[in-house]
Amino acid sequence: MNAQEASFADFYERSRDNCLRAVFASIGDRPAAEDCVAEAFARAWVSWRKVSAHPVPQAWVIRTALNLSVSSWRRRRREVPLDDAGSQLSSTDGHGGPQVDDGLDSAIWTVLTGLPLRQRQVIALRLFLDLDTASTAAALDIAPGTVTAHLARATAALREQLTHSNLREEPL
Amino acid sequence: MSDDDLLQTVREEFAQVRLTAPVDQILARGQALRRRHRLVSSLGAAAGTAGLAAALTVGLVSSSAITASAEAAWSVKSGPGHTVSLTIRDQPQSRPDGLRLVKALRAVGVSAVVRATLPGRCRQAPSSAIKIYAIPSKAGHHRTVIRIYARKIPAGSHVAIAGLRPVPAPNRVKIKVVRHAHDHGLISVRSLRPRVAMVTRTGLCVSPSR
Repeated sequence: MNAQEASFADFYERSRDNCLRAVFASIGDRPAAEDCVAEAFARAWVSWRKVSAHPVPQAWVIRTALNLSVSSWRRRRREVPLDDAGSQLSSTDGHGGPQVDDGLDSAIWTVLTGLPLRQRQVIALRLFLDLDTASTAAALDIAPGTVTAHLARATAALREQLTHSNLREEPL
Repeated sequence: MSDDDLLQTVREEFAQVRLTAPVDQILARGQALRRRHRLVSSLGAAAGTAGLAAALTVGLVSSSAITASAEAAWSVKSGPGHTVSLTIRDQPQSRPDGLRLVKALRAVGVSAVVRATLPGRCRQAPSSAIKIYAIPSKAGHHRTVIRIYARKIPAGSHVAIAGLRPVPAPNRVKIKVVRHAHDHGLISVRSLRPRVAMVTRTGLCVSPSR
């Protein structure tokens, strides 16, 4: 393994789980998130000289993975299911909406997936990459003020929903 | 609960989500991408040169020559979660080659056979292992996407694909074809009606298609 490969391997080992978590929380489909993140890392390796010079390479990977996810949804949106089961699948496929994942707490998952897409993306970058406002804004190509607003709204929604669900579960 | 505590609670919930692909696999995928980029750019350069030469030649020989490009009759693509998408294009210029199709599906881990028709006793029912979609096209050359969820196909079962030979369209529309300036002819519109089924080791056949 040469120096470039070693440098990429180190970056991959450090970042892969957090990048997957951020993309999974954003798009809500675990297999699709795994494929998009793997493809994004492969593209990062192809352009490693450029990506390694990026201020936040993880943000580059996440942005690429999210773009790939949108491309995949665009390819599939014209498909018309030819059987009854297919029509049920298409409503939850791709960007039709996040799917419930059995491995996660259902209350948190419901709250998180109930957030608008942009709020999910902002909070995912803050949660898993610990990015500051400027880096999040650069990664999502939005204004820093928009990041602050989305983050405040997402946190407020999470707090409200989780507090309510905790109150409901407490015995009287 | 402070904001930090709240975010930490959500963060901990995702602790079990891990990307298991080894770095070697990512490096190999990247190398394949590089090779594809190089191939496309070299083909693009070659096609550009050849296209310029062909355009000049055609311009000299006949100004009424018509060129047409045909897409591949089918394509197989692996997707997330061991999903395989088989796209069959209904186009008159090229027809699917069953043997090559079977080989391509085997290469991505799907055991398949191509038949003239599905077994007569095949039951039509929704299947979680196979879904079939249509992509309408304004040009009339529709595409059929057969999505196979390889993980949901029981061991020993295989996928049967039929209807890859063109059949006359139900309305038997005839269209006028002009091949050359003085050569007129009429042909029937013929189209593909791909069908698919999962056949288990015991011979049970389930088809999710029309």
